Amino acid sequence: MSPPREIRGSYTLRVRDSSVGDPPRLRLEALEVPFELECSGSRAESLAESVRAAWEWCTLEPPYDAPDGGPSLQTVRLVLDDDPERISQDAVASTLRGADLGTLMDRLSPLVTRLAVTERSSDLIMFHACALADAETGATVVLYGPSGTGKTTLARTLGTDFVYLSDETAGVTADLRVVPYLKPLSILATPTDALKEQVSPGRLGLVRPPDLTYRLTALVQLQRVPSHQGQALLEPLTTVEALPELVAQVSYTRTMDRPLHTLADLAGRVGGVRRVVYSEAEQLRPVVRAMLDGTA
Amino acid sequence: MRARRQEIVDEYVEDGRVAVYTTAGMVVLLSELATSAWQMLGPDWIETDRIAARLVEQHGEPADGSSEDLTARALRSLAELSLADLDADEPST
Repeated sequence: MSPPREIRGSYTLRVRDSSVGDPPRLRLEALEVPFELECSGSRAESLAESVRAAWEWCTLEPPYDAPDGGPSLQTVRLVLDDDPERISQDAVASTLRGADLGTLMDRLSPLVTRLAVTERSSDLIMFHACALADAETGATVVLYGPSGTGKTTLARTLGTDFVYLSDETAGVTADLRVVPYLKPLSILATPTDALKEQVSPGRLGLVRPPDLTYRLTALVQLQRVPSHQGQALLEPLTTVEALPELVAQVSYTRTMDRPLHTLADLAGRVGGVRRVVYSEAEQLRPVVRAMLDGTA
Repeated sequence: MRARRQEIVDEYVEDGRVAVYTTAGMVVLLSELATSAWQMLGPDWIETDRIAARLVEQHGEPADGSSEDLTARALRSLAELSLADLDADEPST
């Protein structure tokens, strides 16, 4: 297989070819890292269709060639089969395998994220965050926090008004460009479900990013307090106060040169870190609007 | 008792407080007193009564207890965070 060269710009769905017996292959992009997903097993077509639908905003179409020195192609094999023996036979070379489509889909998202984050660990600062942007200016707010602080709910609720860039990982370059990661959102269909459904942002009516450069303009630490009443409370943090949680929510800080200074410098370039205390996602709509407009 | 710094990944000082990234992968934000104690430590051993005297110069006499006790407590906190070594009995060079 030739190395990838062009990896940007297209979201059209694609299966490599229609040869009989050839496993369906999909090309995706995550944090600008190209992926090839090979689906196999007796239910390969069903699997490929589900992946294609959920990851539609990340899908690439040819040409796949990427510039020299760009992120390396990541290959993931997915096996969906009702026959345990066949799964076992295929297991040696497979990354994800199973008899349940929902489980495979649930596992695919963190795997793709982990591989992409690892591939970009040396050239992006990657926040565990929801990223929303202004559709005209490209101004972007990165709202970071651990699991349970409402990132996906924020993306789902506010992404119909602002551009959706990610509900999970926001990658930022040294010159403050935010790299979109248009992954499906992991959503519990009902509170009692064991697995989250992987839902395309398009199916949720989120705003797809126009062809813009997205610039980090605000860095916000999420603090969800269910008992919080009234408007969201936005407060500035000193950088030294913000650093412990900031480091906890940024990947690969240990491999950075002077990580605290690197993050402090980044924070300083966007006016410092702010913390928002809120209970419901809707409370953040005016806050995000004001930060994108530069009036917060 | 003597104390010295342990190896760290990075530190960031602002407004009299320091955030320290430990080799254990944790970032800790120190109080002003602990920041002062931390900033007096280096790779070489230093007697804690010297640290106590400097802390009194910077922060005044403690309202409760002795400066030596307060200093020892601050240094023990640093040691528990893997930021400092304490040498209570047999100092070595």
